Amino acid sequence: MLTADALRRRLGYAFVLCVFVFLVAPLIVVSASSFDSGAYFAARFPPHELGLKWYREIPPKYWHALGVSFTAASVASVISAALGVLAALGIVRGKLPGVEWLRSFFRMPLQIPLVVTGVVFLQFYYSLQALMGVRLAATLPGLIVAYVFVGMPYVVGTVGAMLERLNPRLDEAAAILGCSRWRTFWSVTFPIIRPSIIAGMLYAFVVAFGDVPLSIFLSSSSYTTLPVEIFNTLQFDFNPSVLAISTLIAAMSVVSLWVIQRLVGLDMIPR
Amino acid sequence: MARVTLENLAKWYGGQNVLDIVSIDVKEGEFLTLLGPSGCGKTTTLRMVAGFVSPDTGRVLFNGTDMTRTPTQKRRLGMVFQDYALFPHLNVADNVGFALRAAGMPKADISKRVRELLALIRLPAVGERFPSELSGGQQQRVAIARALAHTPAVLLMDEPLGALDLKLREAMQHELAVIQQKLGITTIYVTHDQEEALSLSNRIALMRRGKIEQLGTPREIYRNPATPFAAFFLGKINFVPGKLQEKQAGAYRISTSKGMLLCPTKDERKFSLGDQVLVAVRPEHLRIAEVASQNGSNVLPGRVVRQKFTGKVVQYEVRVDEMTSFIVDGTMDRSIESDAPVQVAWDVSATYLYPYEDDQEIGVGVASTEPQVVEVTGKHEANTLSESLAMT
Repeated sequence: MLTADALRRRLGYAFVLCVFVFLVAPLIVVSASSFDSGAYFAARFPPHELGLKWYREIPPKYWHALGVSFTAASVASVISAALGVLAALGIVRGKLPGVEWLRSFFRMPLQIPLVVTGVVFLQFYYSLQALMGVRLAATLPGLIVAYVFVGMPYVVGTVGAMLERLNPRLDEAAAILGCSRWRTFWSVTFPIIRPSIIAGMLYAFVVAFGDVPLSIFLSSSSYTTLPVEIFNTLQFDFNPSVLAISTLIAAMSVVSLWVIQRLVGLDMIPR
Repeated sequence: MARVTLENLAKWYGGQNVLDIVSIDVKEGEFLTLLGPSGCGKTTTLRMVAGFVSPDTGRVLFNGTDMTRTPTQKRRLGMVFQDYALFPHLNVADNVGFALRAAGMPKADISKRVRELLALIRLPAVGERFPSELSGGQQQRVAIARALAHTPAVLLMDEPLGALDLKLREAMQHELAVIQQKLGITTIYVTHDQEEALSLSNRIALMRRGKIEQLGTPREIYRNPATPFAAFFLGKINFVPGKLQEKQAGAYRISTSKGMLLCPTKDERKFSLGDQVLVAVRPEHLRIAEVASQNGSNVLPGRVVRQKFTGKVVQYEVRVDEMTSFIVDGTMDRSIESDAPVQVAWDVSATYLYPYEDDQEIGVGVASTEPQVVEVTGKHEANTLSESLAMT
């Protein structure tokens, strides 16, 4: 006979197992299928014979799209970090009137559906082109600006949370010990909030790198990001290579998370 | 070393006058304590010296040079904060050497100086550890070392012992006094703890409601409190309201609800006949007597309502009338029964006299239904107090 306690514990384990299965199973199916020998032009799970055919046949447009995605997301996350840190400092530390308003202003991009954001940016870029002759639609700078818009709130959030908990006496102590405000920032504030900046950048990068609804408006058939390319492939002409590129990206994510964990320690990141 | 002059400092926050014309001259090498209950303006004053708060009027001068508009980092200060404010991302050695690095001292010199300082605070082996790995007392000492590293002209301390437990606080008090004397550094110390103020300071500036209530050596203030609040805040005190009836040679005669009291005339304050006054006397000057009247003594009849054994003394609470109770320090030699009628007697010379003013904070006033000895936070027993006074 099981006691009630043991039963509850087993049910708990079962629940956790379900969660893992549902989260991880798609990844397993996709990555396993990608290693199929390629005798059939379809995704087969479990793979009948192992082979790297689909990896060899990844079309160049995927690599190009991967380059676009990676560049845009990286640059956008760096810009988001710079602007987000400044915004968070202003919101938490600055004695500004209407700070609450500013706070919600910087949260706003998260509350607008990305599709709407995409349409708005497209409209905005068209108007800009018509009025000033600057072309941003379906260009790298255009993507970066849009990604900064959706990525910066994450940095403001993580850095702001860290700054709220930061003892303001530390700044005073640094001033007493002879540091100007500029020097205080670099020798005290920045090192302490660095993990939260990296966490925010990571979020900003991931959001930009995986985005479809926003990017789909801001790319063209000749200039597009990887998620949009994958989306198009799944939608219009399926090719098992898409499994291969997806597996590669999943592997890259795991590796980069591991590297960041080793370098800065994600444990320190506020959640 | 520097002389610090505070000149007519005042500050308003949102229409409230938190600091109302404060002037103090801190001598070179002096240990001056700003003492007072919370909200008295002591911390604001300290933060003005530090440059974190700028005064609305008045000036802060170091060695006669106006520093009021000089930014904090150019004032050559050391400061110990109540919560220590050690840098959590730096180890102890880097914390202590922080000011030296900011000043661009060569690395070898920094590590030499850091070693000296860690020896001074008697923690030579913790350089590699992080603040979070130290105990409260150790963090406190590291904070002191950090504040002293760049040989500041003035050392500021904002309730530095407030977060420590009693035993540790006593040990640290001693240590602070030793370090301060060894270095002879001008020190401004903020506390609400009267005992700490008495045992550490060369002089105390007792503050209340944004003003300096009394400025003097611990002995001066304790023996000769200028106001009822000064008498109340430093040590224990009993108050009796009365009315000035007569001036005799060298003494006033004051009528109270239970009889006449005598009080020595002092030149600094003039009273006129018919004034409402407040007679004050410390518990340690009181005796419980059986004889009705003695020469040169004031006597009030009363009834023992409570007694409290505190170790060295027995504190008797003697009810004089419905409004007034006296705390009397007695000895264990004699046992007095509760509810016994007694006489409370004291030397006329130990009597203080103040103009009467309603002040419920110190237990004087019509609305006070409780006996007139009221304890406030930060006050300690009278016996530990006289002890610390004896040590200075």
